Amino acid sequence: MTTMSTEPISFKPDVLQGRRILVVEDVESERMLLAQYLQQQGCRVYLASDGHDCLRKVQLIRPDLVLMDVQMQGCDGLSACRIMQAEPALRDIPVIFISGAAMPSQRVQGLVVGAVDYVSKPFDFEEVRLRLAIHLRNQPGSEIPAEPEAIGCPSSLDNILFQSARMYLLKSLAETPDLHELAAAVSTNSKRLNEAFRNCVGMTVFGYLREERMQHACRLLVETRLTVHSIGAEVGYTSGANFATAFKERFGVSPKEFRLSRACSWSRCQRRE
Amino acid sequence: MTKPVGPDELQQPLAMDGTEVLLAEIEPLLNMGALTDLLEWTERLEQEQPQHVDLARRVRELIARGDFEGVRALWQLV
Repeated sequence: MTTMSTEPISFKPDVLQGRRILVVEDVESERMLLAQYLQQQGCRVYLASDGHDCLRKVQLIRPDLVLMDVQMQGCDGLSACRIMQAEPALRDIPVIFISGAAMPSQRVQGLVVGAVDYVSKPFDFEEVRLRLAIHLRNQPGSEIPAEPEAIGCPSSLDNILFQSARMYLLKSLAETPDLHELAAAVSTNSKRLNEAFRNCVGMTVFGYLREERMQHACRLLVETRLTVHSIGAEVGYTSGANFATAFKERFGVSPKEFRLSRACSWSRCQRRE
Repeated sequence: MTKPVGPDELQQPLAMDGTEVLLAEIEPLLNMGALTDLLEWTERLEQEQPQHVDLARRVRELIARGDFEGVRALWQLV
C-alpha cells in the first residue's frame, strides 16, 4: 500500500524575487489588489487592462509569467492567450488564468488555449503565490533575452525602450524614422534611447540599425537573386554604391564577393551530400 | 527612403540636467504599466532631486492606487 505524503511542497523563499509578472485585469481594484500582493512578494509588476494591452506589453516586457483574467471587455483572456500561443517568441511565457468561471468546462477551455494553470475567484493569496512559485521554480533567472547579445547591466527601462524601439525599426529597414522621431514614438528622448541601446546591445541606435541592415542584406544576398542595388534599397540605402561601400567596410568584401563565396560553399555542401 | 546614417556623434542631442533625465523616464514607464519601476522612479526622484520631494510623494500615491492617468494629469501641471 502506498502512503501519500502530507509534507508541504517547499520552494526557495526567493523564487518570486525579481520575477517579472504581467497582471492583466480589467477591474482596476482587482488589478491593484493582485499587484500590491505580488510587489510584497518581491515581484516586478507590470499592469495591463485587457487582452490587447497584454499583447502589446508582453512583446516588449517578455515577462516571466502572465497572470490574466479570462473575461474582459474587448479582447478577452482566452483570445490573448491563443494569440500568444501562435507567436513563437511568446508561446513559452506561462499564462495563469484567474477567473470567476467555476465550471470545469470553462477551466478546461482555458487550458486548451495554452494556459498552464487556473486560479478561481475569489482567490486566496497563498494559492496565487504557490501557483506562481510552481511555474517559476524551474525557470532560469529573469533576464530579458537581448539581441544580438546583452552588454552590461541594462535596467528594466533600458529593456523596455530597447524592445519598443527595435520593433519600430524592424517594421521596415528601408524606411526608418530618424532618431528624434523614434525616441518620441517610444516616449523618451534621443539621449536616453541611445543610452538604453548601449546598455542592452553595446551600441547606439544607429549602430544597431546599421548592423541589422547588414545582417538582413547578408540574408538577402544568400537567399535571393535580387540585385545588389535592390538589396541596398531594401535595407535603406539610396544607392547601390553607398550600400556596397558600407557592406565592404563592415565585412571586408563586396556584396558580390560575399554572394559568390556563399554560393561556392553552398555548392560544396551540396556535392558532399 | 532613409539616407545612410552619418557618424553617431551628429545624432547626439544637447545634454540634459538630472531633473530632465528623470522626467524623461516616466512616460515610457507609464506606457508600459511598469508599477515597480515607477515606484522606484519616485524614490530616485526623491533622493536625487530633493527639491521635488512633494512631487515624488504625490506621484507615488497615485501610482500605488493604479491611477496612471492621474500621474499624466499631474505632469501637465509641472
